[in-house]
Amino acid sequence: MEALRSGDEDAFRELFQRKSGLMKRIARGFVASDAVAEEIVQETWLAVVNGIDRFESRSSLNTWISSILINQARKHGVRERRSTPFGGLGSHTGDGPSVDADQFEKEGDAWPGHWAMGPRPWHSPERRLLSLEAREHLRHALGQLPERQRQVVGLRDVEGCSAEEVCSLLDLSEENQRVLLHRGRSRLRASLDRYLAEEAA
Amino acid sequence: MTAPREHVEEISCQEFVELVTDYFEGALGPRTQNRVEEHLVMCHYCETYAEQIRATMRALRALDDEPPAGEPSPAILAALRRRREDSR
Ligand SMILES: [Zn+2]
Repeated sequence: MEALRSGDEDAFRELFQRKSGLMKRIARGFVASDAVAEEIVQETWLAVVNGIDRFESRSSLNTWISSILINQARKHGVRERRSTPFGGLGSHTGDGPSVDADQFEKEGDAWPGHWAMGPRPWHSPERRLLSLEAREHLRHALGQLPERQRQVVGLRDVEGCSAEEVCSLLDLSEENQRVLLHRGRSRLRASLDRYLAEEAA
Repeated sequence: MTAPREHVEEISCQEFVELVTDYFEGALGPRTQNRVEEHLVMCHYCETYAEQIRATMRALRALDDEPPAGEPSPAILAALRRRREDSR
């Protein structure tokens, strides 16, 4: 903190290296490209260095940096949506069921609402899901989620933030946070399910 | 009289897959929580489904290892330099 105020470059580089990866992933939840996310991280650090005198130790340095980051990311997110046709629809899609209705028995069958065949079993998922290819697939699938789901799943499941932290960072109610987490996780499970079935075929 | 009613209150698999996150988050009311737990004991399919959601979460956690984002920009380094000069 003092090092930041006095402009100590070595101390700054250390902080930059330690925090930028995480910051970039958070930014990535708001915008569609890696390059823009990197730009947001740089802008955030510039604002941190220039604004450090306004920082009051009432909040933690982490929280202060995160709030600047999310502000910058929001500004970019808004700009990006304006420039991408149909982009604004992203946050309204993905409200379907977690598992397709045709996977369950119908009204009039012996057990309506119960699995017809059951979920496809995943064989040795721990090994297969950690392969480079599976991780690329999952990263891509995460990027395809509607924006709010991507942000919540990214912060909760990739970064390991708590529900409370995510609610306050993204200004969400507890219930909305859970709904977004649920939709995102359900869709990613379905995506991994398809990936594992294709890979085995 | 009570037996058929309890039967009606059992949750279905189709309901379970929509409750699984609230269940993991500890956000269900006690009655629903009980029904979910009873269902999981009886239903091998939903147990498998819940385990797949957990495997998905573990796979997501494993994405958390990207390399940090490059170097501080010239503008940041210049701002640091100004701070050093000011604090002298
Ligand atoms: Zn079931």
